[in-house]
Amino acid sequence: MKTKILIVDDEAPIRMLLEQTLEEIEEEFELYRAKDGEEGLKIILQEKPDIVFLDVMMPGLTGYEVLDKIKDKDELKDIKIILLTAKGSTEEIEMSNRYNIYLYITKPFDPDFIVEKTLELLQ
Amino acid sequence: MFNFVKLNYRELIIALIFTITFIYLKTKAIKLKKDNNELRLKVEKLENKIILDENEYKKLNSDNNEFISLVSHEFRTPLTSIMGFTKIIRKKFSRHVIPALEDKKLLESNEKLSYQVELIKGNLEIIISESERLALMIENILDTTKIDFGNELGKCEKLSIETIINKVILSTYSLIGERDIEVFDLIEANIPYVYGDEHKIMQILINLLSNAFKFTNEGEIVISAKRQDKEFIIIEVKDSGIGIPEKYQNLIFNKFKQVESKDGDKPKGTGLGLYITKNLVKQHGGTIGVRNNETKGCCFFFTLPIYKGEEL
Repeated sequence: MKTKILIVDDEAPIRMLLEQTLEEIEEEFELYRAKDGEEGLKIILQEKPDIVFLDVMMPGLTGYEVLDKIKDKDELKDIKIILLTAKGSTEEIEMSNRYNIYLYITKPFDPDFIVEKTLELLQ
Repeated sequence: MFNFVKLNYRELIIALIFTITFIYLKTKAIKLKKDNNELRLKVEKLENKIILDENEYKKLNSDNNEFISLVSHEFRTPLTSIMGFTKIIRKKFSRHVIPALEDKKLLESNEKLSYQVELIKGNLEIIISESERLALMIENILDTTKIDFGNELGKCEKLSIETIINKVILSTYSLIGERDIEVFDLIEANIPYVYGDEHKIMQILINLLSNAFKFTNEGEIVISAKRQDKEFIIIEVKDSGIGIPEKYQNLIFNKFKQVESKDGDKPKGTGLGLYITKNLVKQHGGTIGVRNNETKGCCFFFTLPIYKGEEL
């Protein structure tokens, strides 16, 4: 079964950037995109992706609110969440410690770093 | 009879004096009471004003935090796209476009094309390094805003300064580039642990070390640490760069103060790095300063509190 990767970000250029960055990975995977928290949550519940790139500041459901809605679901506990956020304020780091987050990446991020971390997960 | 009248007259005088004194004191007491009431009202008004000011300050602080969060998000997101896509273009250009041109021997035979390719490569590097500079500026401005609004340190704990210095040297090593610079540390044996916020102490050292790299073309940069007294350890970052003219030594820790460069070029950076550094040291209860070395370059030094098994 192919690995499923979901990108949730309200900014179209960031979704495109992540998509083009992941193109570098040779292993096959299925890619899903969501333009906000609600859509992201829907895909998470339906598709149970393996890796989710999740933006924090989004209109409607924020990244943390999405995490809040999935944190008690056993069938989703293996999802590797890579949180994309603007600035690692202490408050934000504390918030992210409350959830099961694989990695916390601050913007602006280096595409090579994204590839490296995704490869780590795919192995 | 005469005697009685005389006596009565005296008593009357005394009674009169008493009455006058009594009236005087009573008036004074009423006035004092009135003054007292006025004062109490004034104090109450002042107290209310303080409460209002406090609320206003709290509101300002929360507005400021909201502003910081907004600025970081709104600036960083487009910057992520600019930097990210440029890096992807650079990679695709050197992995796919250049080899394809080389395959067809186009670069060898066409001087103009070869020049254009070099130009594109150079321009991409400029976009990347300028975006990185902009990212650093945003970070510095946000840090300054936080300092000006009295943001506190994060989690303070017992820390090994040796480990932190080694981490910082490793993380800034790439800044040396092609230059002939040697970096090493000189840590006193059995140096005590320090007490502070690891992330902030790393930021202090990274700022000082990046500065040393910026102004040193060759030679050595030494980071040393030793016990200063019972309370503090002292850390020094010594470079062999151009040094700092004496008249600037007290000013460079102020906001937006930068030493003019000798070639007349506008100094790079925001002029906030040392201001932030000074405040981070101050938040730890330490002090910071700079002096020129006897031979070449300058030495920044700062102190950090020794861990004593209890909070500061």
